[in-house]
Amino acid sequence: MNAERLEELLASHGSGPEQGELLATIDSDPAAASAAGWDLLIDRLLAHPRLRAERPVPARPLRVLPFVASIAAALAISVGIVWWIAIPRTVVPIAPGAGVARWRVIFDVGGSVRTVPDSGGPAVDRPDLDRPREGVVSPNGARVLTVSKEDGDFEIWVADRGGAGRRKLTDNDAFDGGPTWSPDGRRIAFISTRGGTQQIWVMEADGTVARQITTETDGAGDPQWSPSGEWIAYVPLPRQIPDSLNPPGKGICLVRPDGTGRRSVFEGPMLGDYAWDPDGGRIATSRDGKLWVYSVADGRTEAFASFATIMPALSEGYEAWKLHWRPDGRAVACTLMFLAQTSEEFKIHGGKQLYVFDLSGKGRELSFASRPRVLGWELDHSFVRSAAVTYFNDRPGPPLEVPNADLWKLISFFPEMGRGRRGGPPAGWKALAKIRFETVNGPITVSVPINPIDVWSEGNGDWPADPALKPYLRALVGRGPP
Amino acid sequence: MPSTDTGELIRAARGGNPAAFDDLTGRFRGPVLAFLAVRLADAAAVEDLVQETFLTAYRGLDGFRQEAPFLPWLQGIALNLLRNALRKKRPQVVDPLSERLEAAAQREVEALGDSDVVEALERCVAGLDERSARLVTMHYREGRPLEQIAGADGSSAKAVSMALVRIRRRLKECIQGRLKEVSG
Repeated sequence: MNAERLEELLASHGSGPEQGELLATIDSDPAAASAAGWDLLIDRLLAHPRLRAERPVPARPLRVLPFVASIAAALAISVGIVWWIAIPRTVVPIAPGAGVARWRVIFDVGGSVRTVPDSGGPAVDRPDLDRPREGVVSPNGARVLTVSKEDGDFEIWVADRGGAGRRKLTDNDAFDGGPTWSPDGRRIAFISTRGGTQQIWVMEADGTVARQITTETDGAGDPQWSPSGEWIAYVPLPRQIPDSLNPPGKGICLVRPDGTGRRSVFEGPMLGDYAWDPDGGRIATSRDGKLWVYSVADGRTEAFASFATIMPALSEGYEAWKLHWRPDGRAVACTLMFLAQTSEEFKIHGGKQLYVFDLSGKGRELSFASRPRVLGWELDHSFVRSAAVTYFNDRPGPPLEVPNADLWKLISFFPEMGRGRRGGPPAGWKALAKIRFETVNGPITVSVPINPIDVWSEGNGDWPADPALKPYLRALVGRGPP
Repeated sequence: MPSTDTGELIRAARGGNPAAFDDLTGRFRGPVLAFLAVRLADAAAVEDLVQETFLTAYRGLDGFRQEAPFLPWLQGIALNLLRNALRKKRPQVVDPLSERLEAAAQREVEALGDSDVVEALERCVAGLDERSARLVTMHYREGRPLEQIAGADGSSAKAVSMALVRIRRRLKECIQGRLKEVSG
């Protein structure tokens, strides 16, 4: 059969009288069968969400971090999710707003970044928010950590944000990966096999003074530095994974950055994700169809929400992924993953939804056309009337509040900061800011981990560079979502 | 036998290095996706199964024999998951043409081995001329009916359908060329 006739048959979708002709052709002509097979293959692949997303094709093969790497409870590479948002140069008064919603969940769906009110409602495209970058971005946004095996084995590399000054921070024959910055950007926790088993290590930001801080029998992974900088959480690895139903991980442990004070929390298999709250005082994770929270201060662990509040079927086999605390610490957003062998129910619940659970136990399901990925939160600026910022530090006296959210006015109030300009921030500064927003619906207090070095180093009338603050600064200056 | 590089990655992944498994996933995602896509028309379900395949593979990595080829092992997992998924669906009327077309496509995917047809396709799509890219976007990304695309294109639905077949043929030739370059 000639190619043109075959194309006509394929274009007719094999309907009507042409169906028999196409069928006979495929059975009798191997070349036509091959062409028809390719036509179907490409048709199916083009319909696939990965291609539908219409992302620009990179010059080199793009490394896609699959969620399966996350299940190892060791996010090793490329998990830095930091927003680079245009920072306005002038402080403008906050316009009073009106409405109901306060918080919006930022998520990525089909290759574009969108936000949706956490109470439900229409999602809006947010082309002003960048997609996540590859690599782990430092708290001040100036440097990016990546893991590459371009020299033969996995090493940690650092570069300036634009890619300049790229160099290796580790250089040995062992595996080094999973880097995470300390909140002040001065140290890096990472996983390494240089001591034999995979353990958690800490080094200075320039790669010097690396030291092992865990000694777990079967290894450790997925380090996450607490926002306060006091603790590093990690997941001890299981002895082995004998079959697909035996989940990895043995709970979560905490250890101080110097290797002391190890304590075990959430003992048992780890199937889901975990996340520090913005204050660094609590950890949330999922287990047995519920969300749990652990309090560092009193060591209590309690379940605060059940997936079954959405639908009873969600109580078995589902675990939370991409957990993100709302900045006021009163809710989390996540997606659900179905971890059993069959997935029919997952297609109904979990596959194309994101979930918001309040600490009070209430849950909401927000559905989309394809699988969303939770990236974070932002405050809806149109509901903000005013704001005040408190930087917490160890200086005597009450914390200082500055009205109207003028952070630079705040900085000028601290004589210590002036001294810091010459020699770095004064000792004892905690990397935490609290912002109290007065909204049309009442007050909201937001804790934001910040880097005092940035506040010190960029104090020339400009906004601090700290990326963690930027979503709130946007809200403060009235440049929120459309 | 897996290539030395793949074998090293498997060893590293079994040793608990998730970055190595991430690398394996990046390498074999395309072939697994193609393997499933020619067996199931529902693109979203295929994506779920791809993810489940790698999840199951990760969790069962210790059960993988190091000397065995990796892709067939992954495909075995994918097939089991697919069967489980289909088992739960209501019985469907068998369409002999679709069945035959899928079988033909499955033979082509088998012949591709572990070549990354998905990555090659992505690159080839990026090189399409303006009209072809527009038609692909309207049909596959926006899911518009042929009649509507024809209206926007200034042609008939039949002409659009024919154009899409030709675009797919050109993409096939482009993919084959790229894969030949890579293997050469």
